[in-house]
Amino acid sequence: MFKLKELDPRLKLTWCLFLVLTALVSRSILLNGILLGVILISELFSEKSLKAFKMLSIVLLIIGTQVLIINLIFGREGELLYAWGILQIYSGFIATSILAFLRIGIISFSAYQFGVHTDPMDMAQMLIHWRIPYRYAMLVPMVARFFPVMIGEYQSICNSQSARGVPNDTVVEKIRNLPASILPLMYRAMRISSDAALSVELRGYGRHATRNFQKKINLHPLEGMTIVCLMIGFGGVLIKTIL
Amino acid sequence: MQNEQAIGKRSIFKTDTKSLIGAVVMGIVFVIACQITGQIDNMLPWGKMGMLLINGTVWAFFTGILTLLYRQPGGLIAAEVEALISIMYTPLWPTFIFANGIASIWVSFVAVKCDMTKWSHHILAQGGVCVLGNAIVGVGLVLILGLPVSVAAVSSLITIAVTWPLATLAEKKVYDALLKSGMVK
Amino acid sequence: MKPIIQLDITALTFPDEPEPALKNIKLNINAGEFIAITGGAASGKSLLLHTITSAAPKFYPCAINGTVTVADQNVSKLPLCQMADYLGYMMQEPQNQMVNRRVTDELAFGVANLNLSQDEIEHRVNVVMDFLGIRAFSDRTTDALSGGQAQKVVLGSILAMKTPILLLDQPTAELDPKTSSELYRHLGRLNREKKVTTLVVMDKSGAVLKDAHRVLVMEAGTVKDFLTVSEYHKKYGCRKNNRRAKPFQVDERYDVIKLSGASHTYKGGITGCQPLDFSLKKGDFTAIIGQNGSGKSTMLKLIEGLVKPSAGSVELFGTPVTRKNVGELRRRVGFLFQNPDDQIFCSSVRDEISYVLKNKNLSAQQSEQKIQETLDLIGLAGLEEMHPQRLSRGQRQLLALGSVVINDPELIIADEPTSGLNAAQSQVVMEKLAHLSGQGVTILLVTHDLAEARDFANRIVVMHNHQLALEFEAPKMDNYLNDLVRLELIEGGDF
Repeated sequence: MFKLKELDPRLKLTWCLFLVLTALVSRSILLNGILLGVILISELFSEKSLKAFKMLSIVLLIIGTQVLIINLIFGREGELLYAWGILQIYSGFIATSILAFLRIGIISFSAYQFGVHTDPMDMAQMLIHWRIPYRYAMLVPMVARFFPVMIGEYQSICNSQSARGVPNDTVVEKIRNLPASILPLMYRAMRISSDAALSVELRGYGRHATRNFQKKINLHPLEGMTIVCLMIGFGGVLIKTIL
Repeated sequence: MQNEQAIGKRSIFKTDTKSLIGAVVMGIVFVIACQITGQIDNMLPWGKMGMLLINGTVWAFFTGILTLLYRQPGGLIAAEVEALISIMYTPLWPTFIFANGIASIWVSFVAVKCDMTKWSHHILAQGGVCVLGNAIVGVGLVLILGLPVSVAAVSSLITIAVTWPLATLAEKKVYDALLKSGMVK
Repeated sequence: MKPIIQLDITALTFPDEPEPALKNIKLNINAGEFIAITGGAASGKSLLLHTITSAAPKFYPCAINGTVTVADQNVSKLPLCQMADYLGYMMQEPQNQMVNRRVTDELAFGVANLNLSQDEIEHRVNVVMDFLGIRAFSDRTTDALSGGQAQKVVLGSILAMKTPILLLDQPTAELDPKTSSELYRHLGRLNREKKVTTLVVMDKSGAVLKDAHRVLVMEAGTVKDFLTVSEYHKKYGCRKNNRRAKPFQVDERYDVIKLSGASHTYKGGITGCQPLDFSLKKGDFTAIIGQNGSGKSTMLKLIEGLVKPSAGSVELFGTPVTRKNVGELRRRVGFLFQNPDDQIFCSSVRDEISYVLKNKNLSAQQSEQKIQETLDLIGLAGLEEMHPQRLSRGQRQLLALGSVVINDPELIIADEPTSGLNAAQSQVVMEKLAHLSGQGVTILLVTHDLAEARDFANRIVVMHNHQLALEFEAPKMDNYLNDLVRLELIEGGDF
């Protein structure tokens, strides 16, 4: 069965870059539409649902609406459709907005798909394969580890401030309270990172020039060929756009 | 592993494990701060028009302060952690990769030349961060979101004008407070 | 027997500090020994471990006049990462020490750094999982572990490296008594079966003394005594009974807190607490005890209005807590959190203490008087201009208490305020709470320390499996020891 998680991270990254760069280079609504469809279908095949994209879809919908309104008001491409005082609406806003909508979908979903379906340890190994010293490559799993930890810390600080009666209802109060929530978080971050750094050093981090892994990544020849095909494909899109 | 490399009088590099992991964890704080301020901006009229002024201020402040704290490559690591996690909430993430990176390098460049004790040093550092960062994001507004060039240019100029003084103020105050706390030498 | 650790330090001094933090230490630790380290605040216990690991001066810059030898190696000549060949070090907060998302990756982290083969990594991880009994949660993510589980994973990661020396700094400071006993049982077994030399900075419970061979007593940065356990018991005796003499003035007619069938379920259907019926009378001092994850924190969040009851109701000062009035009600309550760093954000002790006075219509003179009274109460007078992050953990906890007390709260809710503090620091914090209780302030204390609950509270409530399981008068705790064993709070003969 097809599972995105089981693919080699290098193939997934090439696929993600292919999608992002093609979306940025191509102005074809059809091609961008197909690419967005492929992302959604691959996700559906692999995970049997599009649940992972739910939150991001809402965010993109809001951004897309803002883009639509700005293009509607300020867009000057195409023919003049309507004028009322300084407000002028041109026909080009529809195509521009659709293209922007597809682009932001491809750019966001492809990167999100790569991030969600790639084990941070695999990412670290991928970087090590590219000759990045492991002391730097291993920072990737650490981001994945400390992200939920710091979110938890932030929530504790907010609870603490809230229980202490720090007012935080209006926008002005929220702005005024920014230092009250961010500064303790910074102090906590410094203490946590200091403990973590000492702990890893005393567990031999940097003891040898290389390190081993429990589970190693392995690029299958078929995956290698797919990477080459994607690169050729992007070259084709680039040439077609330039010509 | 203490492995610091000095360039000129002041060291631009700090490659010990404490700085590397510190940069990672602070990069996450950077993301959280940008999330909070993004939400605040969206409650304000200009935020609804896509101009994130408070978020821009906090972005510039963190880019500056983290580079001053962790130097390089810590500054770059923290900045890129923010850029990469922003995949989760904005399609402008490809521009953040460049904007954050270049802004962090600029701050390092200023910190090598100045000792960061005077207001002018922080004004210079933040000036570069705000101008370079917003210019790159402006390009992203055109290329990724498809906004008209005039709209992107006005948005970037307003953001620079607002964030530069505010981020300078925040950077100087917090840098001094961190020195006072003894957590930064 | 041959010493495996030798310290000969004339002075260890931090930059900008006039006095040495460690001085005149001459110490030999034999291979296979189990040493408990104790001492008052700022006595140098943790620093001693940092010096053995060579984190001081390599991680915490300082000047050392003297030598430290571990397994015949002068540690000053070895890089910090090479110390992993000789010793494993576990600090207080396990969540800070884990750097991988998955438990198995964390267990393999140290061994993988040693560049061993994949088979060897796999083998060692399996052995450690069986030894510590952690296979059941091996496929979890590290952020989903409880305090005790996290502590075992950190220990497992160190044990997998098979170092001959193990250093632990208050490893059970945040654990409930039963989980602490389990951890010490593992350490005792390691020492006996694998002959691992073990040095533990002991927490205030002193539970580690069951397995220890000798006790190192530190005072003001130097070794005060180095005794066998029986000599230590003779000289320092058991923990003194701090039972307060002054009677509690409880007004039975007035409920300060009242929970009527209040329960809470978190997102994803995770139970926070089952329906609770609980009341706290005016002037009472009640302690809530229970295992990690028994629902104590959720109960406090319900009372504080940080989470809404899924069913039932919560009343504060006779008024149902609603979204509208919660801010007003909170002004009458002082919350003291487990980690003082969650609530401290100002850049001086004075600013922190006076923060809540900003919203009160007090004259400058009145404010100043209140600030001085509070500083005197918490013992931080003279440190007004110091940055809070420069204070010790105990002092920061007192500062947090001060910032609460200055608001003249009618009720103080303290969530494990002495967790992570040593016996002397805990005593100071608890005495301040007792002093306030004597003045008529109602106090709700959540603690893992049963002796603390017995000595300072009027009433004890036990939480188990997210519900209230037992309630008794604090001085009668000894009559309920069998119940506490049944409720998995202590092991037989622990207390």
